[in-house]
Amino acid sequence: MLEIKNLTKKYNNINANILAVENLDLTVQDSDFISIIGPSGCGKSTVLRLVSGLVEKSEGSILIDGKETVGPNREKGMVFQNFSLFPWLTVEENILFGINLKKDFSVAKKTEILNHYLEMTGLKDFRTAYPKNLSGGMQQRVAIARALANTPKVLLMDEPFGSLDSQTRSQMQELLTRIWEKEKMTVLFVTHDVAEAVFLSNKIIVLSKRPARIKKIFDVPFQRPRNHELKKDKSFFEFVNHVQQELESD
Amino acid sequence: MQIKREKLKYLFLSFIGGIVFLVFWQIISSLNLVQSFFLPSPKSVLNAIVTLFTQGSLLGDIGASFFRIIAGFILSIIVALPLGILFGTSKKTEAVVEPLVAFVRYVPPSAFIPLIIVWFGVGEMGKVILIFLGVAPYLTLLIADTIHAVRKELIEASLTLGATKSDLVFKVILPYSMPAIWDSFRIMFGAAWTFVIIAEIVGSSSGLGHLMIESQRFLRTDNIFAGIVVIGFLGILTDYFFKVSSKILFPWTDKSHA
Repeated sequence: MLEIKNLTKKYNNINANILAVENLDLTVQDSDFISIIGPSGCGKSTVLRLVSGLVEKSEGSILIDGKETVGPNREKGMVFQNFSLFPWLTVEENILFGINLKKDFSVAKKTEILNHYLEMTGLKDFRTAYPKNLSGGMQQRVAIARALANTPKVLLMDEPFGSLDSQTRSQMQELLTRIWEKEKMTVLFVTHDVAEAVFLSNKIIVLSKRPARIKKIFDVPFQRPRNHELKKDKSFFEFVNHVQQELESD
Repeated sequence: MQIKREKLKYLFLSFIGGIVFLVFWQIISSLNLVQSFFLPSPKSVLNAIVTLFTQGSLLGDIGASFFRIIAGFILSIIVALPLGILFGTSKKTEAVVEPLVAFVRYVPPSAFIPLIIVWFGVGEMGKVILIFLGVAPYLTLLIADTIHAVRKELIEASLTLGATKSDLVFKVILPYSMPAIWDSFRIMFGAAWTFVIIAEIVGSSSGLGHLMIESQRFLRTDNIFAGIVVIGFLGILTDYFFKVSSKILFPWTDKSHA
Protein backbone atom coordinates (compact mmCIF):
# COMPACT_ATOMS: atom_id res chain seq x y z
CA MET A 1 0.00 0.00 0.00
CA LEU A 2 1.26 3.44 -0.95
CA GLU A 3 0.23 6.37 1.23
CA ILE A 4 0.90 9.97 0.30
CA LYS A 5 0.32 12.28 3.22
CA ASN A 6 0.21 16.06 3.19
CA LEU A 7 2.59 16.20 0.24
CA THR A 8 3.80 19.75 -0.48
CA LYS A 9 6.42 21.12 -2.85
CA LYS A 10 7.64 24.72 -2.90
CA TYR A 11 10.24 26.03 -5.30
CA ASN A 12 12.16 28.95 -3.87
CA ASN A 13 13.49 31.07 -6.69
CA ILE A 14 15.15 34.45 -6.41
CA ASN A 15 12.16 36.04 -8.11
CA ALA A 16 9.26 34.12 -6.67
CA ASN A 17 8.26 31.30 -4.38
CA ILE A 18 6.23 28.87 -6.38
CA LEU A 19 3.89 26.45 -4.70
CA ALA A 20 3.74 23.45 -7.05
CA VAL A 21 1.93 20.88 -4.93
CA GLU A 22 -0.08 21.61 -1.79
CA ASN A 23 -1.27 19.21 0.94
CA LEU A 24 -1.88 16.28 -1.34
CA ASP A 25 -3.28 13.14 0.32
CA LEU A 26 -3.70 9.92 -1.58
CA THR A 27 -3.76 6.22 -0.78
CA VAL A 28 -3.10 3.59 -3.41
CA GLN A 29 -4.16 0.10 -2.33
CA ASP A 30 -2.12 -2.93 -3.37
CA SER A 31 -2.99 -4.14 -6.87
CA ASP A 32 -4.82 -0.94 -7.70
CA PHE A 33 -4.39 1.02 -10.91
CA ILE A 34 -4.79 4.74 -10.38
CA SER A 35 -4.29 7.48 -12.95
CA ILE A 36 -3.55 11.12 -12.25
CA ILE A 37 -4.77 13.64 -14.79
CA GLY A 38 -4.85 17.43 -14.70
CA PRO A 39 -4.53 20.58 -16.80
CA SER A 40 -1.13 20.96 -18.46
CA GLY A 41 1.47 22.50 -16.19
CA CYS A 42 -0.51 21.59 -13.06
CA GLY A 43 2.37 19.55 -11.67
CA LYS A 44 1.08 16.01 -12.15
CA SER A 45 4.52 14.82 -13.23
CA THR A 46 5.99 16.63 -10.23
CA VAL A 47 3.68 14.64 -7.94
CA LEU A 48 4.98 11.40 -9.44
CA ARG A 49 8.62 12.51 -9.17
CA LEU A 50 8.02 13.49 -5.55
CA VAL A 51 6.61 10.04 -4.83
CA SER A 52 9.59 8.40 -6.56
CA GLY A 53 11.97 10.50 -4.48
CA LEU A 54 13.79 11.85 -7.54
CA VAL A 55 12.55 15.31 -6.51
CA GLU A 56 12.84 16.27 -2.86
CA LYS A 57 9.56 17.12 -1.17
CA SER A 58 9.16 20.22 0.99
CA GLU A 59 6.67 18.73 3.44
CA GLY A 60 4.68 15.59 3.99
CA SER A 61 5.52 11.93 3.84
CA ILE A 62 5.43 8.97 1.49
CA LEU A 63 4.78 5.59 3.08
CA ILE A 64 5.00 2.13 1.62
CA ASP A 65 3.34 -0.58 3.72
CA GLY A 66 3.30 1.86 6.60
CA LYS A 67 7.02 2.64 6.46
CA GLU A 68 8.32 6.04 5.41
CA THR A 69 10.43 6.01 2.23
CA VAL A 70 12.83 8.79 1.32
CA GLY A 71 14.76 9.16 -1.92
CA PRO A 72 14.66 6.92 -4.99
CA ASN A 73 14.92 3.17 -4.43
CA ARG A 74 13.92 -0.20 -5.90
CA GLU A 75 10.55 -0.25 -4.10
CA LYS A 76 9.34 2.57 -6.35
CA GLY A 77 9.91 1.48 -9.93
CA MET A 78 9.47 4.04 -12.66
CA VAL A 79 8.75 4.12 -16.38
CA PHE A 80 9.68 7.39 -18.08
CA GLN A 81 8.24 9.12 -21.13
CA ASN A 82 11.56 9.00 -23.00
CA PHE A 83 12.17 5.28 -22.22
CA SER A 84 15.62 5.92 -20.63
CA LEU A 85 17.05 2.58 -21.64
CA PHE A 86 20.74 1.90 -21.12
CA PRO A 87 22.05 2.08 -24.70
CA TRP A 88 25.14 -0.07 -24.03
CA LEU A 89 23.05 -3.00 -22.79
CA THR A 90 21.02 -5.43 -24.87
CA VAL A 91 17.29 -5.92 -24.29
CA GLU A 92 17.87 -8.79 -21.86
CA GLU A 93 20.67 -6.98 -20.03
CA ASN A 94 18.43 -3.94 -19.66
CA ILE A 95 15.63 -6.06 -18.22
CA LEU A 96 18.02 -7.72 -15.75
CA PHE A 97 19.71 -4.46 -14.69
CA GLY A 98 17.93 -4.12 -11.34
CA ILE A 99 18.19 -7.82 -10.56
CA ASN A 100 21.89 -7.89 -11.34
CA LEU A 101 22.45 -5.03 -8.88
CA LYS A 102 20.93 -7.14 -6.12
CA LYS A 103 23.33 -10.06 -6.66
CA ASP A 104 21.19 -12.59 -4.74
CA PHE A 105 19.56 -14.38 -7.66
CA SER A 106 20.77 -17.67 -9.12
CA VAL A 107 21.37 -17.87 -12.85
CA ALA A 108 18.41 -20.23 -13.24
CA LYS A 109 16.11 -17.86 -11.36
CA LYS A 110 17.30 -14.92 -13.46
CA THR A 111 16.66 -16.81 -16.68
CA GLU A 112 13.19 -17.69 -15.46
CA ILE A 113 12.37 -14.05 -14.62
CA LEU A 114 13.86 -12.84 -17.89
CA ASN A 115 11.86 -15.29 -20.00
CA HIS A 116 8.67 -14.47 -18.12
CA TYR A 117 8.93 -10.75 -18.90
CA LEU A 118 10.25 -11.22 -22.44
CA GLU A 119 7.21 -13.38 -23.11
CA MET A 120 4.80 -10.99 -21.45
CA THR A 121 6.01 -7.94 -23.40
CA GLY A 122 6.47 -9.78 -26.71
CA LEU A 123 10.20 -9.12 -26.85
CA LYS A 124 11.41 -12.71 -27.26
CA ASP A 125 12.78 -12.15 -30.75
CA PHE A 126 14.61 -8.98 -29.73
CA ARG A 127 16.46 -10.21 -26.64
CA THR A 128 19.96 -9.55 -27.98
CA ALA A 129 19.15 -6.29 -29.78
CA TYR A 130 20.51 -2.94 -28.63
CA PRO A 131 18.03 -0.11 -27.92
CA LYS A 132 19.25 1.87 -30.95
CA ASN A 133 17.78 -0.83 -33.19
CA LEU A 134 14.31 -0.74 -31.59
CA SER A 135 11.29 1.43 -32.39
CA GLY A 136 9.84 3.70 -29.71
CA GLY A 137 7.08 1.24 -28.82
CA MET A 138 9.57 -1.62 -28.51
CA GLN A 139 11.85 0.50 -26.34
CA GLN A 140 8.99 1.28 -23.99
CA ARG A 141 8.17 -2.43 -23.75
CA VAL A 142 11.74 -3.01 -22.59
CA ALA A 143 11.42 -0.19 -20.05
CA ILE A 144 8.21 -1.71 -18.66
CA ALA A 145 9.78 -5.19 -18.49
CA ARG A 146 12.86 -3.69 -16.81
CA ALA A 147 10.77 -1.98 -14.14
CA LEU A 148 8.52 -5.03 -13.54
CA ALA A 149 11.35 -7.58 -13.41
CA ASN A 150 12.67 -5.67 -10.39
CA THR A 151 9.32 -6.35 -8.60
CA PRO A 152 8.77 -2.88 -7.14
CA LYS A 153 6.09 -2.34 -4.50
CA VAL A 154 4.59 0.36 -6.68
CA LEU A 155 5.08 1.13 -10.36
CA LEU A 156 5.15 4.82 -11.25
CA MET A 157 4.48 5.64 -14.90
CA ASP A 158 5.14 9.17 -16.12
CA GLU A 159 3.25 9.69 -19.40
CA PRO A 160 4.89 6.52 -20.71
CA PHE A 161 3.09 6.52 -24.05
CA GLY A 162 3.17 10.29 -24.60
CA SER A 163 5.87 10.23 -27.26
CA LEU A 164 4.45 7.35 -29.30
CA ASP A 165 2.28 7.62 -32.41
CA SER A 166 -1.44 7.02 -31.81
CA GLN A 167 -1.52 3.50 -33.25
CA THR A 168 1.44 2.32 -31.18
CA ARG A 169 0.02 4.10 -28.15
CA SER A 170 -3.23 2.21 -28.34
CA GLN A 171 -1.35 -1.10 -28.75
CA MET A 172 0.70 -0.27 -25.67
CA GLN A 173 -2.43 0.58 -23.68
CA GLU A 174 -3.86 -2.83 -24.46
CA LEU A 175 -0.57 -4.51 -23.62
CA LEU A 176 -0.36 -2.72 -20.28
CA THR A 177 -3.97 -3.63 -19.46
CA ARG A 178 -3.27 -7.29 -20.26
CA ILE A 179 -0.15 -7.23 -18.08
CA TRP A 180 -1.97 -5.58 -15.20
CA GLU A 181 -4.90 -7.99 -15.36
CA LYS A 182 -2.40 -10.84 -15.07
CA GLU A 183 0.21 -9.46 -12.66
CA LYS A 184 -1.97 -7.11 -10.57
CA MET A 185 0.90 -4.80 -9.75
CA THR A 186 0.22 -1.50 -7.99
CA VAL A 187 0.33 1.33 -10.53
CA LEU A 188 0.27 5.11 -10.29
CA PHE A 189 -0.04 6.43 -13.81
CA VAL A 190 0.28 10.05 -15.01
CA THR A 191 -1.19 11.12 -18.34
CA HIS A 192 -2.81 14.10 -20.06
CA ASP A 193 -4.94 11.77 -22.20
CA VAL A 194 -8.34 11.26 -20.52
CA ALA A 195 -9.36 8.32 -22.71
CA GLU A 196 -6.09 6.60 -21.86
CA ALA A 197 -6.70 7.10 -18.15
CA VAL A 198 -10.25 5.74 -18.42
CA PHE A 199 -9.20 2.71 -20.45
CA LEU A 200 -6.38 1.72 -18.10
CA SER A 201 -7.45 2.63 -14.59
CA ASN A 202 -9.67 1.59 -11.73
CA LYS A 203 -9.68 5.12 -10.38
CA ILE A 204 -8.89 8.54 -11.82
CA ILE A 205 -7.60 11.44 -9.76
CA VAL A 206 -8.28 14.86 -11.28
CA LEU A 207 -5.87 17.53 -10.12
CA SER A 208 -6.55 21.26 -10.00
CA LYS A 209 -4.45 23.97 -11.60
CA ARG A 210 -1.25 24.85 -9.75
CA PRO A 211 -0.77 24.36 -6.87
CA ALA A 212 -1.82 20.75 -7.53
CA ARG A 213 -4.63 19.58 -5.22
CA ILE A 214 -7.07 16.74 -5.65
CA LYS A 215 -10.19 18.12 -7.26
CA LYS A 216 -12.19 14.98 -7.86
CA ILE A 217 -11.82 11.19 -7.80
CA PHE A 218 -13.67 9.01 -10.32
CA ASP A 219 -14.25 5.29 -10.06
CA VAL A 220 -14.06 3.82 -13.54
CA PRO A 221 -17.17 1.63 -14.01
CA PHE A 222 -15.97 -0.64 -16.85
CA GLN A 223 -15.62 -4.39 -16.39
CA ARG A 224 -12.39 -6.26 -16.92
CA PRO A 225 -10.89 -7.80 -18.95
CA ARG A 226 -10.93 -4.76 -21.18
CA ASN A 227 -9.90 -4.64 -24.82
CA HIS A 228 -9.94 -2.04 -27.56
CA GLU A 229 -13.61 -2.76 -28.35
CA LEU A 230 -14.40 -0.84 -25.18
CA LYS A 231 -13.13 2.38 -26.77
CA LYS A 232 -15.86 2.21 -29.41
CA ASP A 233 -18.60 1.86 -26.80
CA LYS A 234 -21.03 4.76 -26.28
CA SER A 235 -20.82 4.49 -22.49
CA PHE A 236 -17.01 4.72 -22.69
CA PHE A 237 -17.28 7.83 -24.82
CA GLU A 238 -19.76 9.46 -22.43
CA PHE A 239 -17.65 8.68 -19.38
CA VAL A 240 -14.53 10.15 -21.02
CA ASN A 241 -16.51 13.33 -21.79
CA HIS A 242 -17.75 13.49 -18.24
CA VAL A 243 -14.20 13.31 -16.85
CA GLN A 244 -12.96 15.75 -19.48
CA GLN A 245 -15.57 18.31 -18.37
CA GLU A 246 -14.45 17.99 -14.76
CA LEU A 247 -10.86 18.44 -15.88
CA GLU A 248 -11.62 21.63 -17.80
CA SER A 249 -14.00 23.27 -15.28
CA ASP A 250 -12.60 25.80 -12.86
CA MET B 1 24.41 -1.16 -49.95
CA GLN B 2 24.00 2.59 -49.96
CA ILE B 3 26.45 2.93 -47.07
CA LYS B 4 29.04 0.76 -48.82
CA ARG B 5 28.86 2.81 -52.00
CA GLU B 6 29.25 6.04 -50.01
CA LYS B 7 32.28 4.56 -48.27
CA LEU B 8 33.90 3.52 -51.56
CA LYS B 9 33.29 6.97 -52.98
CA TYR B 10 34.91 8.50 -49.90
CA LEU B 11 37.94 6.21 -50.14
CA PHE B 12 38.29 6.96 -53.84
CA LEU B 13 38.22 10.72 -53.25
CA SER B 14 40.78 10.42 -50.44
CA PHE B 15 43.00 8.47 -52.81
CA ILE B 16 42.62 11.14 -55.51
CA GLY B 17 43.52 13.81 -52.94
CA GLY B 18 46.76 12.00 -52.11
CA ILE B 19 47.66 11.47 -55.79
CA VAL B 20 47.06 15.12 -56.69
CA PHE B 21 49.33 16.19 -53.85
CA LEU B 22 52.12 13.80 -54.94
CA VAL B 23 51.85 14.85 -58.62
CA PHE B 24 52.01 18.52 -57.64
CA TRP B 25 55.08 17.83 -55.48
CA GLN B 26 56.76 15.87 -58.31
CA ILE B 27 56.07 18.65 -60.83
CA ILE B 28 57.62 21.31 -58.60
CA SER B 29 60.74 19.26 -57.96
CA SER B 30 61.22 18.14 -61.59
CA LEU B 31 60.81 21.72 -62.89
CA ASN B 32 63.69 22.60 -60.56
CA LEU B 33 61.75 25.54 -59.18
CA VAL B 34 63.31 24.77 -55.80
CA GLN B 35 66.75 23.27 -55.22
CA SER B 36 66.50 19.57 -54.47
CA PHE B 37 68.49 20.21 -51.28
CA PHE B 38 65.49 22.17 -49.93
CA LEU B 39 62.75 20.11 -51.52
CA PRO B 40 63.74 16.57 -52.47
CA SER B 41 61.52 14.78 -54.98
CA PRO B 42 58.90 12.24 -53.77
CA LYS B 43 61.01 9.51 -55.32
CA SER B 44 64.16 10.41 -53.41
CA VAL B 45 62.14 10.63 -50.17
CA LEU B 46 60.77 7.16 -50.87
CA ASN B 47 64.33 5.97 -51.54
CA ALA B 48 65.43 7.53 -48.26
CA ILE B 49 62.69 5.71 -46.39
CA VAL B 50 63.64 2.37 -47.97
CA THR B 51 67.34 2.92 -47.26
CA LEU B 52 66.67 3.97 -43.68
CA PHE B 53 64.51 0.91 -43.23
CA THR B 54 66.95 -1.59 -44.68
CA GLN B 55 70.33 -0.11 -43.78
CA GLY B 56 69.59 2.58 -41.21
CA SER B 57 67.98 2.71 -37.82
CA LEU B 58 64.41 3.61 -38.88
CA LEU B 59 62.72 0.54 -37.42
CA GLY B 60 64.57 0.96 -34.13
CA ASP B 61 63.74 4.68 -34.07
CA ILE B 62 60.05 4.01 -34.65
CA GLY B 63 60.18 1.44 -31.86
CA ALA B 64 61.89 3.86 -29.47
CA SER B 65 59.39 6.67 -30.14
CA PHE B 66 56.46 4.30 -29.91
CA PHE B 67 57.66 2.84 -26.64
CA ARG B 68 57.95 6.33 -25.10
CA ILE B 69 54.49 7.30 -26.29
CA ILE B 70 52.94 4.11 -24.96
CA ALA B 71 54.68 4.50 -21.58
CA GLY B 72 53.70 8.18 -21.27
CA PHE B 73 50.19 7.44 -22.43
CA ILE B 74 49.59 4.58 -20.03
CA LEU B 75 50.91 6.73 -17.18
CA SER B 76 48.54 9.51 -18.28
CA ILE B 77 45.55 7.16 -18.37
CA ILE B 78 46.37 5.77 -14.92
CA VAL B 79 46.22 9.30 -13.50
CA ALA B 80 43.66 10.98 -15.76
CA LEU B 81 40.94 8.32 -15.74
CA PRO B 82 40.24 8.22 -11.97
CA LEU B 83 40.85 11.97 -11.67
CA GLY B 84 38.53 12.76 -14.56
CA ILE B 85 35.80 10.53 -13.12
CA LEU B 86 36.25 12.18 -9.72
CA PHE B 87 36.06 15.66 -11.28
CA GLY B 88 33.02 14.70 -13.26
CA THR B 89 31.11 13.28 -10.32
CA SER B 90 32.23 15.33 -7.32
CA LYS B 91 32.01 19.11 -7.30
CA LYS B 92 34.25 19.30 -4.23
CA THR B 93 37.19 17.44 -5.76
CA GLU B 94 36.81 19.47 -8.90
CA ALA B 95 36.98 22.70 -6.90
CA VAL B 96 40.16 21.60 -5.11
CA VAL B 97 42.18 20.20 -8.01
CA GLU B 98 40.78 21.91 -11.10
CA PRO B 99 42.78 25.18 -10.81
CA LEU B 100 46.04 23.21 -10.61
CA VAL B 101 45.16 21.07 -13.62
CA ALA B 102 44.03 24.11 -15.58
CA PHE B 103 47.29 25.88 -14.70
CA VAL B 104 49.45 23.00 -15.88
CA ARG B 105 47.30 22.73 -19.00
CA TYR B 106 48.00 26.33 -20.01
CA VAL B 107 51.79 26.01 -19.63
CA PRO B 108 53.19 24.56 -22.87
CA PRO B 109 54.71 21.16 -21.98
CA SER B 110 57.95 22.23 -23.70
CA ALA B 111 58.33 24.90 -20.99
CA PHE B 112 58.91 22.08 -18.52
CA ILE B 113 61.86 20.68 -20.51
CA PRO B 114 64.62 22.56 -18.65
CA LEU B 115 63.18 21.44 -15.32
CA ILE B 116 62.66 17.89 -16.52
CA ILE B 117 66.28 17.67 -17.67
CA VAL B 118 67.47 18.93 -14.27
CA TRP B 119 65.23 16.48 -12.41
CA PHE B 120 65.33 13.41 -14.59
CA GLY B 121 68.29 13.92 -16.95
CA VAL B 122 68.01 13.13 -20.65
CA GLY B 123 67.11 9.46 -20.18
CA GLU B 124 63.85 7.69 -20.94
CA MET B 125 62.17 8.88 -17.75
CA GLY B 126 62.33 12.56 -18.73
CA LYS B 127 60.70 11.90 -22.12
CA VAL B 128 57.91 9.86 -20.60
CA ILE B 129 57.33 12.63 -18.04
CA LEU B 130 57.12 15.25 -20.81
CA ILE B 131 54.48 13.23 -22.64
CA PHE B 132 52.65 12.76 -19.37
CA LEU B 133 52.66 16.51 -18.64
CA GLY B 134 51.39 17.21 -22.13
CA VAL B 135 48.68 14.55 -22.19
CA ALA B 136 47.40 13.97 -18.64
CA PRO B 137 45.91 17.43 -17.83
CA TYR B 138 44.01 17.65 -21.13
CA LEU B 139 42.86 14.06 -20.88
CA THR B 140 41.60 14.65 -17.32
CA LEU B 141 39.47 17.61 -18.39
CA LEU B 142 38.17 15.83 -21.50
CA ILE B 143 37.12 12.85 -19.38
CA ALA B 144 35.53 15.11 -16.75
CA ASP B 145 33.49 16.86 -19.48
CA THR B 146 32.36 13.50 -20.84
CA ILE B 147 31.26 12.37 -17.38
CA HIS B 148 29.38 15.65 -16.86
CA ALA B 149 27.43 14.99 -20.04
CA VAL B 150 25.92 11.66 -18.92
CA ARG B 151 22.19 11.82 -19.60
CA LYS B 152 20.39 12.66 -16.35
CA GLU B 153 17.47 10.36 -17.17
CA LEU B 154 19.81 7.33 -17.17
CA ILE B 155 20.97 8.22 -13.66
CA GLU B 156 17.33 8.61 -12.59
CA ALA B 157 16.30 5.32 -14.17
CA SER B 158 19.10 3.43 -12.43
CA LEU B 159 18.26 5.03 -9.07
CA THR B 160 14.66 3.79 -9.34
CA LEU B 161 16.10 0.32 -10.08
CA GLY B 162 18.05 0.35 -6.84
CA ALA B 163 21.50 1.59 -7.90
CA THR B 164 23.87 2.78 -5.18
CA LYS B 165 26.41 5.59 -5.67
CA SER B 166 29.15 3.18 -6.68
CA ASP B 167 26.73 1.38 -9.03
CA LEU B 168 26.10 4.77 -10.65
CA VAL B 169 29.81 5.27 -11.34
CA PHE B 170 30.74 1.76 -12.43
CA LYS B 171 27.54 0.45 -14.00
CA VAL B 172 26.06 3.58 -15.56
CA ILE B 173 28.39 6.55 -15.90
CA LEU B 174 31.53 4.68 -17.00
CA PRO B 175 29.95 2.29 -19.52
CA TYR B 176 27.94 5.15 -21.02
CA SER B 177 31.03 7.39 -21.26
CA MET B 178 33.51 4.83 -22.60
CA PRO B 179 33.07 5.57 -26.32
CA ALA B 180 33.65 9.29 -25.75
CA ILE B 181 36.61 8.54 -23.47
CA TRP B 182 38.03 6.24 -26.15
CA ASP B 183 37.69 9.12 -28.60
CA SER B 184 39.58 11.37 -26.18
CA PHE B 185 42.35 8.75 -26.15
CA ARG B 186 42.47 8.97 -29.93
CA ILE B 187 42.81 12.75 -29.90
CA MET B 188 45.41 12.79 -27.13
CA PHE B 189 47.44 10.01 -28.76
CA GLY B 190 47.95 12.38 -31.67
CA ALA B 191 49.11 15.06 -29.25
CA ALA B 192 51.52 12.56 -27.65
CA TRP B 193 53.34 12.34 -31.01
CA THR B 194 54.03 16.09 -30.80
CA PHE B 195 55.59 15.78 -27.37
CA VAL B 196 57.72 12.74 -28.13
CA ILE B 197 59.24 14.43 -31.18
CA ILE B 198 59.99 17.58 -29.14
CA ALA B 199 61.60 15.48 -26.41
CA GLU B 200 63.73 13.57 -28.92
CA ILE B 201 64.85 16.71 -30.74
CA VAL B 202 65.96 18.30 -27.48
CA GLY B 203 68.11 15.40 -26.35
CA SER B 204 68.06 11.78 -27.35
CA SER B 205 70.13 9.11 -29.01
CA SER B 206 67.22 7.30 -30.60
CA GLY B 207 63.71 7.86 -31.90
CA LEU B 208 62.23 9.61 -34.93
CA GLY B 209 62.91 13.08 -33.51
CA HIS B 210 66.56 12.12 -33.05
CA LEU B 211 66.70 10.77 -36.60
CA MET B 212 65.46 14.09 -37.94
CA ILE B 213 67.72 16.34 -35.91
CA GLU B 214 70.71 14.16 -36.87
CA SER B 215 69.70 14.42 -40.53
CA GLN B 216 69.61 18.18 -40.16
CA ARG B 217 73.17 18.17 -38.80
CA PHE B 218 74.34 16.19 -41.82
CA LEU B 219 72.17 18.26 -44.19
CA ARG B 220 70.20 15.20 -45.28
CA THR B 221 66.92 16.90 -46.20
CA ASP B 222 65.65 13.70 -47.82
CA ASN B 223 65.96 11.91 -44.47
CA ILE B 224 64.14 14.74 -42.67
CA PHE B 225 61.30 14.39 -45.17
CA ALA B 226 61.41 10.64 -44.69
CA GLY B 227 60.90 11.16 -40.94
CA ILE B 228 57.94 13.49 -41.51
CA VAL B 229 56.28 11.06 -43.92
CA VAL B 230 56.77 8.13 -41.55
CA ILE B 231 55.29 10.09 -38.61
CA GLY B 232 52.31 11.03 -40.79
CA PHE B 233 51.69 7.42 -41.73
CA LEU B 234 52.02 6.22 -38.16
CA GLY B 235 49.50 8.90 -37.19
CA ILE B 236 47.02 7.66 -39.79
CA LEU B 237 47.54 4.09 -38.60
CA THR B 238 46.91 4.87 -34.92
CA ASP B 239 43.86 6.95 -35.83
CA TYR B 240 42.55 4.03 -37.84
CA PHE B 241 43.27 1.67 -34.95
CA PHE B 242 41.20 3.78 -32.54
CA LYS B 243 38.32 4.16 -34.99
CA VAL B 244 38.11 0.46 -35.83
CA SER B 245 38.55 -0.69 -32.23
CA SER B 246 35.83 1.75 -31.16
CA LYS B 247 33.37 0.11 -33.54
CA ILE B 248 34.28 -3.33 -32.23
CA LEU B 249 34.28 -2.36 -28.54
CA PHE B 250 31.12 -0.23 -28.64
CA PRO B 251 28.71 -1.77 -31.13
CA TRP B 252 25.80 -0.07 -29.34
CA THR B 253 26.62 3.53 -30.31
CA ASP B 254 24.73 5.35 -33.08
CA LYS B 255 27.97 5.81 -34.99
CA SER B 256 28.79 2.14 -35.38
CA HIS B 257 27.07 0.06 -38.05
CA ALA B 258 27.86 -3.46 -37.02
